[in-house]
Amino acid sequence: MKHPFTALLLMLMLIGKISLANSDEFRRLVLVTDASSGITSLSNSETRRLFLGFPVVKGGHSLEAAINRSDPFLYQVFLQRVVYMSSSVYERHLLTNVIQLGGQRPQAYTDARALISVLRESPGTVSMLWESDAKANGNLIILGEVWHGNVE
Amino acid sequence: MARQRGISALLHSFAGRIVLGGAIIHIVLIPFLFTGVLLIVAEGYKEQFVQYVRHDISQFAEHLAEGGDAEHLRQHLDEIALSGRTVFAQLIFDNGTVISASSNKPSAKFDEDFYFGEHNDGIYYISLPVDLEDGTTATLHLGYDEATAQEQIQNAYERGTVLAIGYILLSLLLVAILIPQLTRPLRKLRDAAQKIASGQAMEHLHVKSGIYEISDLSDDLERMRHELVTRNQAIAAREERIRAIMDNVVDGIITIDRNGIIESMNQAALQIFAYSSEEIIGTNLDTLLNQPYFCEYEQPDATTPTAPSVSFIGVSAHETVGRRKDGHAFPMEIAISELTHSEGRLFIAIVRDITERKQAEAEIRALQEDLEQRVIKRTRELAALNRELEHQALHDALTELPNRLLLQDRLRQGILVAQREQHPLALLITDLDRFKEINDTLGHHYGDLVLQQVAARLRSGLRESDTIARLGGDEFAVLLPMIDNEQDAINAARKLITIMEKPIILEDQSFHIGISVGIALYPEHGKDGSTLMRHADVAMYVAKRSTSDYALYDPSEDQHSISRLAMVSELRHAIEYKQLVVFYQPKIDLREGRIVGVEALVRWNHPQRGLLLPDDFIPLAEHTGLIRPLTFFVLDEALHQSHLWQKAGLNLRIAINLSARHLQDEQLASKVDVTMRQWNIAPELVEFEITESAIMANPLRAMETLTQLSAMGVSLSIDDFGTGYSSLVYLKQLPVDEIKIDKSFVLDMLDNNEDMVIVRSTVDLAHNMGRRVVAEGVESEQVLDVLIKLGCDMAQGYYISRPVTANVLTGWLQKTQWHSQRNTGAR
Repeated sequence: MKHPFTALLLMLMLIGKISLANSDEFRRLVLVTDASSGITSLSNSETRRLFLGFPVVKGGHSLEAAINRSDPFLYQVFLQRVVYMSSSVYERHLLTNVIQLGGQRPQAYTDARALISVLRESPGTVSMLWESDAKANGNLIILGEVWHGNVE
Repeated sequence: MARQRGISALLHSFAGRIVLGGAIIHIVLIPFLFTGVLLIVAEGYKEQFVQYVRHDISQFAEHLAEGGDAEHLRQHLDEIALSGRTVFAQLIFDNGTVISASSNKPSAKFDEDFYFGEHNDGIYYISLPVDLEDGTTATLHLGYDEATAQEQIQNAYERGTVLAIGYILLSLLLVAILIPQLTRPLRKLRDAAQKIASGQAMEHLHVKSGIYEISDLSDDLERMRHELVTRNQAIAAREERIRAIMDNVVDGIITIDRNGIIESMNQAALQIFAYSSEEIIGTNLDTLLNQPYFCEYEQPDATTPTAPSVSFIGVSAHETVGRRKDGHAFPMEIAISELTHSEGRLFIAIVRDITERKQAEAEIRALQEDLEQRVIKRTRELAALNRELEHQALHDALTELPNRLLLQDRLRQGILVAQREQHPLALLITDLDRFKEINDTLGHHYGDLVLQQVAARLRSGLRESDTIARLGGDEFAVLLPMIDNEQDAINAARKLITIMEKPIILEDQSFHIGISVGIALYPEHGKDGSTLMRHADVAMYVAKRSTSDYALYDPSEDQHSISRLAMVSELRHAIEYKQLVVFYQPKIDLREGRIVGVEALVRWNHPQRGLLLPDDFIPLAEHTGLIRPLTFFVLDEALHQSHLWQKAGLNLRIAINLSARHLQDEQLASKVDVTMRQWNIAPELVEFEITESAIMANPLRAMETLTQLSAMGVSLSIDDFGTGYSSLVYLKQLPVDEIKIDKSFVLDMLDNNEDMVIVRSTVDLAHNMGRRVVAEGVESEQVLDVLIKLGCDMAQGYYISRPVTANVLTGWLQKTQWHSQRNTGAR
């Protein structure tokens, strides 16, 4: 072989590919809030309205949305299953909602731990988490499933 | 740098480099730029596709929520599938019932996508839960064809590539068009620089350009050109100046290359060697060197750079022999120094024709040799002269005896020896008796001869180890270093006295000269030279006063010596402070019986010893030289008194005594003249009395002085006539007016017939020679009468008046029987 280095690189990539293929993991994206919120469930419509920046009151509490952007795939699942929008259209929508309607833009978090802290400390805050993460924090309750499937 | 051609030349040109640089920039950056843009555009297409799909499925889900039977739902799904992009539609109920659109491919497998092209199957699968109105729930699966979006993205890529290539080409085209505009002024600058480089720098350089850098470069080049021109002019001027200096220096300057070839010669060098510049430039340096010294020039080694003459190189000059064009050899000085410059090594030879110098050196050498000989000769002469001077310094010129200085030295040495060997030493000092009379009477010449004979005679009476020295005048000293006792010294003194008892014969005349000897002994009378000298001198004065001719020092007699020295000091003080008094003794004219003059006689009014007569201090004054100021004091006092008498109406001629020493004084006449003028005294009223012996001491000199005084109009008188050794020949020639007979003849003339004869003869002699006669020592009327009878002209003596002060004399004149001569002429 003229290029042993190239062959070695391709081999490593193939192994990596196989390895990645074999690492598919079943995951479940769930809607969560703090247990002290007193909320047990949210409909699809309420969830969509909440994350589009519209006010949602449940059980006498005004809810607030917290966008989880710590995982790009999670965020895409959220966009596709909750708000039915692409990322840029969703951003534009939130901006329009804030400017034209005086609504409040949901806070976005790129750090999962910070997001979980906010959920604990601010009852009535609703966000998306992988189910494994939600269950790892005992104070959070799952309001419903958004999506489930294998994730590479 | 060698020029290249074709593409290589283009790549090495300014334009080529700009084009190449532009191309590289565009080739690197444009794909990067366009790729970035296309990626953004592609992401936009994908985003747009995803938004469309997500929105579309939500709309379909709402329609399907209205529900219906299975057929209705399948028709609905078919309508969705017919909408355009949807290629897969399926509704899956929770109970497992599946309703698919008719157009679905059986092979199609739903795999939900969340990114465009996620599964590379060309279909974007998406699902959404549907809550039907009948309470059932299902999940809507749709599949959208990604081909359209892919085509749009592909199309964007293709167009972008074409645009990028077109952009690059257009850019290169524009660069190719614009570069000549840029390089044209640069070419002009290059042409101008080439002109400057080729020496055509006088033309001004100015290239117009709208580009600052080029116009600035043009200005800089113009400044550089101007600076270059200025510097070139300065260099040319400096070279011209250096050339002028080189051609005007006295020394010849030759530059030689490392092979010894002459490169240049200045005018001085050409003149020295008598070559023209064309003849000598390019030839070897050995052309200028003479054959015998040719060996000093070494031919350079062809392989190594060498000096033209190793032996000549150096800072100092080297003398050799040069050769002119005509072959004439001449002495030459040459100094070669090495200079290393940018083009290699150069040798500078400085040559000088030293023919004249060599000749001068030869002359100088001859002169030096001559001078050395003369110096040697002169040194010998000086050595002899020194010896002579040393001899003169230590010896008396007249007697050739050691002088006082040498005596003192020998005395010092003798004392040291005597001290060391514990034996006595004697110092004798002698003084000749009656030498003064001989000196004054016969003159210094005879005195000198006497001294020479005395010296020889004394020398003959001493041992070789003894020293006899002349101390001055008629004083001699004898040093006896080898005696055993006092008696030896006395015996030596007696021997000397005996030797001197025999008369000294000079020119057939016999002189008896005795000596007085003072003796001082070491260590008894003194332990040093000066003490011995002083004590021997005291003893000698004691001997003079005693009957013996010698005396041993006696401390009790020393007082006399001290008093004598004190008297000299007191006399000097007396003259200075006018303690001397002038007495006047009148002279009368025997024919007219009246006073015609006075003789001034000095007295010393001593503060302790009272009034002293001349015999008490005049000899001392003559011996010490104080006689001169003393006489001038008397002269001034006497003429002052004469002035006062004149004012009182008395015309008395004043006679003043002069000593022998005055007759030797060349200043006497002028001093007398000044004093007479000072007191306004007529010369006729002034008379000088001189003894015979004073005149005969030096008759010629006395004649000269007396002639000067006589010419002034003053009278001259010979005092104490008959007591000396007067020569009638001299007496006849002397310009004297008067002769005074010594009082020793006058006093006894009445009782001594011989004295009477002398007085009478003297009167007759004087009258026969036309001189007046004055008799001194007239102490009685009888003598006066005899003198009148003998025809004596004037008389002077106690009978008439003793010497008295001026005041007493003035009073005496008023009451005496002798009338004085008055201004009115009355007697």
